[in-house]
Amino acid sequence: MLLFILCFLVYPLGGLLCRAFFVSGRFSLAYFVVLLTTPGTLELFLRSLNLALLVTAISALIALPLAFALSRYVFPLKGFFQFAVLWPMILPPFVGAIGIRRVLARFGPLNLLLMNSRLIDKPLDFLGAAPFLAVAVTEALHLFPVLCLYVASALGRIDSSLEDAASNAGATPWARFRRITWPLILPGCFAGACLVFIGSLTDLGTPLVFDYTALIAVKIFNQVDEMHVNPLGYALVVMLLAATLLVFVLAKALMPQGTAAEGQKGNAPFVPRKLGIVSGLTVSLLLLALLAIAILPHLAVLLTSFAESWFMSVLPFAYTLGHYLEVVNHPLTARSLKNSLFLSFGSTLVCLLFGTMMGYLIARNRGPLGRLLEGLSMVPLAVPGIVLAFAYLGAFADTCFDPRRNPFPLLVFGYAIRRLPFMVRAAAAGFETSSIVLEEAAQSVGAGRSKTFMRITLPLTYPYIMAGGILCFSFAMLEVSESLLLAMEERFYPLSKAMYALLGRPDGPFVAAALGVSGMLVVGLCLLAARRLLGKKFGEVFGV
Amino acid sequence: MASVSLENVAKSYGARKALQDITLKIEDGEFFALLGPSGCGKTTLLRLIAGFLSPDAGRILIADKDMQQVPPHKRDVAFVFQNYALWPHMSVAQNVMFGLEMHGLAKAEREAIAEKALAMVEMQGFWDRRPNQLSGGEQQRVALARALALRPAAMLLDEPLSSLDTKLRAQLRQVIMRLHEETKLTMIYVTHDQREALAMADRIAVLNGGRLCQVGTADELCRRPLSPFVAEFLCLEPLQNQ
Repeated sequence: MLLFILCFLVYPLGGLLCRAFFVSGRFSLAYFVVLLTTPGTLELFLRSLNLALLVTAISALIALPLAFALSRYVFPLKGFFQFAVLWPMILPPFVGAIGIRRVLARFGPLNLLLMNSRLIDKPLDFLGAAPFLAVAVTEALHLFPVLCLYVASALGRIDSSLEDAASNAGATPWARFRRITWPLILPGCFAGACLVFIGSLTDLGTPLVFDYTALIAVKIFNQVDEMHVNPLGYALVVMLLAATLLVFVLAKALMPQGTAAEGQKGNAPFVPRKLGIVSGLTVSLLLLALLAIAILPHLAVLLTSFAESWFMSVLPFAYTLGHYLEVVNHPLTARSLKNSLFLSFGSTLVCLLFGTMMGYLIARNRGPLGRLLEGLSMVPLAVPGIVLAFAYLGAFADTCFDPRRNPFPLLVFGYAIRRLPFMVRAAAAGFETSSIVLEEAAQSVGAGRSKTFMRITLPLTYPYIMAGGILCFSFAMLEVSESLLLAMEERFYPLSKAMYALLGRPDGPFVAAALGVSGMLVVGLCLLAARRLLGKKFGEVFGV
Repeated sequence: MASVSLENVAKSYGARKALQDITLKIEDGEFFALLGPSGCGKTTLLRLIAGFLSPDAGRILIADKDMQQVPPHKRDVAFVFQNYALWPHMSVAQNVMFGLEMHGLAKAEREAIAEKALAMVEMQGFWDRRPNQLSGGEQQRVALARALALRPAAMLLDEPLSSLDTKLRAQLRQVIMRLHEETKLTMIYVTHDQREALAMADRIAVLNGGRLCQVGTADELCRRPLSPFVAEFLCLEPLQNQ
C-alpha cells in the first residue's frame, strides 16, 4: 500500500522537484529566476490566479443562496433540486465547453435568436470579445456544486439552538445571519472556496476547448513536447503545485475538525421552514432558471449530438442518430470508448483495493499510524492531474512504464491515485458506521482477523465501498488532464482525448458531442447508483 | 415582568398531535414548572411561547398582549437551552452582551450589565474565556447570565440541568432559585424530573401525551391527584425511592 503511494505519487513528484531545483547536479533556483524574468510568464501566472478568483466569486454568488434555500426551507420540487444541483458537477466542463462554444458562436443559436427578435442587427462575437469571461463562467457553472455541498454541510452542523438563542436575544433575522450563522459557516465556506479555486487554477479542458491559451495550465500542456530539452517546464509545474498546495493547506487549517469546533453536540437539528406558496414558487423558479443556465452547455451538447446539421439556425434542421452510429463504428471513437471503460475499470479495482485497506486502517486506528495514513491519502487532492501527469512523463520515461510506448499502466495508476482520497473517505465512513463491537464479537467466537474482515466487516460496509468504487469509475471515465498529457498515440486515446482530437475535424464536433453524451450517460448512471447506495452520506464523500 | 397565558393552544407535527387544547395562565413573578415524561409536549409548549414555533390553533399572550404576529426577537422572553447554546465563536462576555447590543445599548452600558449578570451567577472571572474552555456547569451559568442580562419579561428554561451531573445539578438548582428570588422574574421551567419540579416550583403543570393533566401546587398535586397518571408520576415513585 505504501509502496503504491511511494511509486506513483512520491517518486514522480520527487523527480519533478529534483529536475526543477537541480541544475547539472547542484541545487539552484536558476530555472525559477529565468521563468520569472521571462516576459509573459508572470502575467500568465497572475492571469490564471485572476481567473481562479473570478470563478470562485461567481461560484460563491450561486452557491451561497442555493445552499441556504436547500438546507433551511421547504419549497416545491425541493427533493428534485437537491439531486439536480449535483448535475453540473458530474457533467465535465470540457464537454460543456463544446456546447457553450456552439451556443455562443458568431452564427450560433444565441446570436440568431437575438437577431431574429431584432435586438441586435449584427452578430456579436462573444467568444472573441470575452474569452476570459467565457472560460470563467463555464468553470464556475461546473464548480459551484462543490461549494454548495460545503456550505450546506456547514449549515447542517450548526445547532439550531444557536440561532434560536440569537432570535431570543433580540437579533433580527439579518443580524442573526451576520453575527451568528455567517461566522460559524465561514470556515466551511472557505474550505469549499479553496477547492473551487484549485479546480479552476488547474483546469485544462475548458481553456483548451475555448482556444484560450494564455493560462498556466495550457502553457504546461504545450511544454510537454519539449520537456526533455527544456527544463523550464518542470519549474512551471512546480510553481503550479506550490500554489495549489498553499491553498490546500489554508483550506485544511481553516476547516473545523469534527464537531468540536461547533462547541456543542448538535442535538437539535434544524427543521426546514415551509415557505408560503408565493415565496416557495419564486424560489423554485429561480432555482429552475439557475439550473437551466448551468446545464445549458450540456443540453447544447445533447442537441448537437442528435443534429443532422446545425448551421445558421436557432435549432437544428433535422435530427439523426447517425453520430451515435459513428461513435460505435468509427475506429477512433469506438476504441476510445473501449479504452476509457477499460482504464476506468482498472483504476477502480486498484482504488478499491488500496482505498478499502487504507479506509479500514484509518477508521480503526486512532493512533499516529491512522493519522499518517489519513494525511497521506488526502495528498492527491492537492496534486492537480496536470502536475501528476507531467511528473509521470518525467519520471517514467525510458522505463517499462514509459507512456510513449503504452500509457495504460500509468493512466490506470494515475486515475487511481487521484481518486484515492474519495475512495478512502467513503470506505472510512463505512467502517466508522459499523461498530467495532461486532468485530470483537466475531473474534470472541473464534474468527481470525482476516476472517472477521471478510465475513463481518466487509459485508456490513459493502454499500459504502461500492459507492466509493462507482465514484472512482465515473471520475475516471471523463478525466481530462492526465488523459490529454499521457495518451500520445491514437490507439491509446481515452474518451476525452478522442473528443479533443475530433474537435479539429469538420464533422468532428457532432461526433465529439455524441461521444461526450455517451460518456456522460455512463457517469450519470454511476452517480445515480452511488447516491442510492450512500443516501444522505453522499455529500460527505466529496469533502476535503 | 409579565404573566403568560395560553388559550386553547394546539400544535401538530404532521399527523402527530404534539399539543392539544392547552389553556394555562402563569402569573406575574411565578416560578412555574412544566412537568411530564419525554415526548409529552412540554418543550414544544415552551418553544411556542418563545415564538420558535407557531401554534396551529389558539392564542398565546405575554403581558396580556397577543403574540400571534410577534417574531421571536421581539417577544421579550429569555430562553435558556438544554445544551446551553453558547455561541462558540464569541467569548463569555460577548455572549452575554450580544442581546444587549441587539437592543441598541451603548458599549459602556452593555459592559456594566454583563458584569452584573455574570456576578449574579458567580462567573465574574470568566469574561474573556471561550465556551469550549468552560465545564458544563459553567456554561449553563453563562447561559443563565445571558438570559438575565436582557431583563426579560419572563424566563423560559428548557431542562437546563439535565445535561449536568447530580452534584452540579443541586448547585445550579440553588442558583436558579436564588435568581428567582432576587429578580422576581416569571420563570417557566421545563423538566422531566418530578423532584426538581416539586422542590423548585410555585405551581406545576403535569403534561402527558400532549394534554394537560393537572395544574396546582406541589402540595395539591400530591394530596389530590386527579388521575392515576399524575399520582404515579408525581408522588409514588419518589416515596418509594426515599
